[in-house]
Amino acid sequence: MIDWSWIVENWQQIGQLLFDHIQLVTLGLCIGMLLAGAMVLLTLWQPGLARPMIYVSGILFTIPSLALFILIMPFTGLSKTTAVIGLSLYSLLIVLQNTLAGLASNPPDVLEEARALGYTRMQRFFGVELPLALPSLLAGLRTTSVTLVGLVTVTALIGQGGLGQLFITGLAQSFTTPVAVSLILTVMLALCFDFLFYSIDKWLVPWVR
Amino acid sequence: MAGPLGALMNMNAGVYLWFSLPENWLGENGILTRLAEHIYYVSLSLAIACAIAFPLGVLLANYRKGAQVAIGLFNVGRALPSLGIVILAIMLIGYETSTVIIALVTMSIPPILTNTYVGIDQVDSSLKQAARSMGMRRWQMFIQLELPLAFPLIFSGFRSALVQLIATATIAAYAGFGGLGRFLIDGLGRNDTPQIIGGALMVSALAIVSEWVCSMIETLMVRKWRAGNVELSAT
Repeated sequence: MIDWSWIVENWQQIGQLLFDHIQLVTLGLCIGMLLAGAMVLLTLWQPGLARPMIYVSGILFTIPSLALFILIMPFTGLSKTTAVIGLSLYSLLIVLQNTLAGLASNPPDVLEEARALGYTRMQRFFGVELPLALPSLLAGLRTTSVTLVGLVTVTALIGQGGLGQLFITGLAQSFTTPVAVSLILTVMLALCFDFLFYSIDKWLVPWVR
Repeated sequence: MAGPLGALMNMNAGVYLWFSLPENWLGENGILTRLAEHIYYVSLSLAIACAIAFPLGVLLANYRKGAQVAIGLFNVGRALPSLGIVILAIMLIGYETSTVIIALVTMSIPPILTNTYVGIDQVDSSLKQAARSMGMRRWQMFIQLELPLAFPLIFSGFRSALVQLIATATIAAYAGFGGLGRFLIDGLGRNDTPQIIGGALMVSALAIVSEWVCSMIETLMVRKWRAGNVELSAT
């Protein structure tokens, strides 16, 4: 099923695609996180915004990935920008939902105590609320990274896609090896990201376990 | 009109035209046919996935041996990219409708299985002990206690499987299958922007409507069980 000589001959191309893949995931993750952070800060200023934000991001998240990428295309064309915008949007949605849910489930008596101790709103957020919500924030990042590794392959259909390109090659040439290589590498990449955030989780919030 | 804004206006007009032509709806490969195909793929594979994953989840929650391994394995499965699964399935099984169904079932087993297992496993053990000491049989406990309590989680697994299925069925069009994804893939091939955008809007609408229906069902079920509880406490 696997033609090893093809892998040896094409290892440079595979490496390049793997690099592209990691780059797309990282870009999507970072931009999504920054936007989610900005929106969470916005809810501090206007707490009423949290509910509509969760609602809208829930609706956006149900849009199938290929359709989302295509709906962005009229603005940015068949470019890397389209892929990055779509991926960032997805990660924004997952991270935002997890963070807001985590913040909402913080025990109210702790927040009360913080206020009684004279914390300002910002001090309370960064000193109490955010650390308490960190586990669910990191759980969100874990899910996001695994999801994004898979989603990047979809962008192969709009001319990007990192390792997803190998699916296209494989189908076009009726050749299983590139498809198998790409599947194995994407799963391994997803596991690496998962483990990375798991380790960060253990390191940052050792009190949870 | 020139510039990006003009292009956008032209595109909107094109998409509007695409939706307004009756032959685009009723034709042999029209929107309605594609929509029916899409719903067929999704509902059939969801039904099969439920029939496999739900009993398996219940079984794992009861026997617990090997549960962690199974859940871990299925989490790895979640990382499998849908496009790759569909393409690999075609190469291994051949080009038939059953191929896309098999690929879709494979994709939707993990969320249903994991959530069923976790939902039933999470039921408070003191409640289970109370049920047992009231003389409930194992299956009574399952139907009257564990299932209602686990329902929200099981159903959320079902919902995420549904959303994922609608998305994957779209992607399956790339490999030559039917469904609404055809408009996206064919449109991309022919550079037919109104068709691509129209198809994307249809798929998105399908996903959003299905989600909405699911949330309605969830509200109704939860309300029904709540009402049952009130009845129980009144007698």
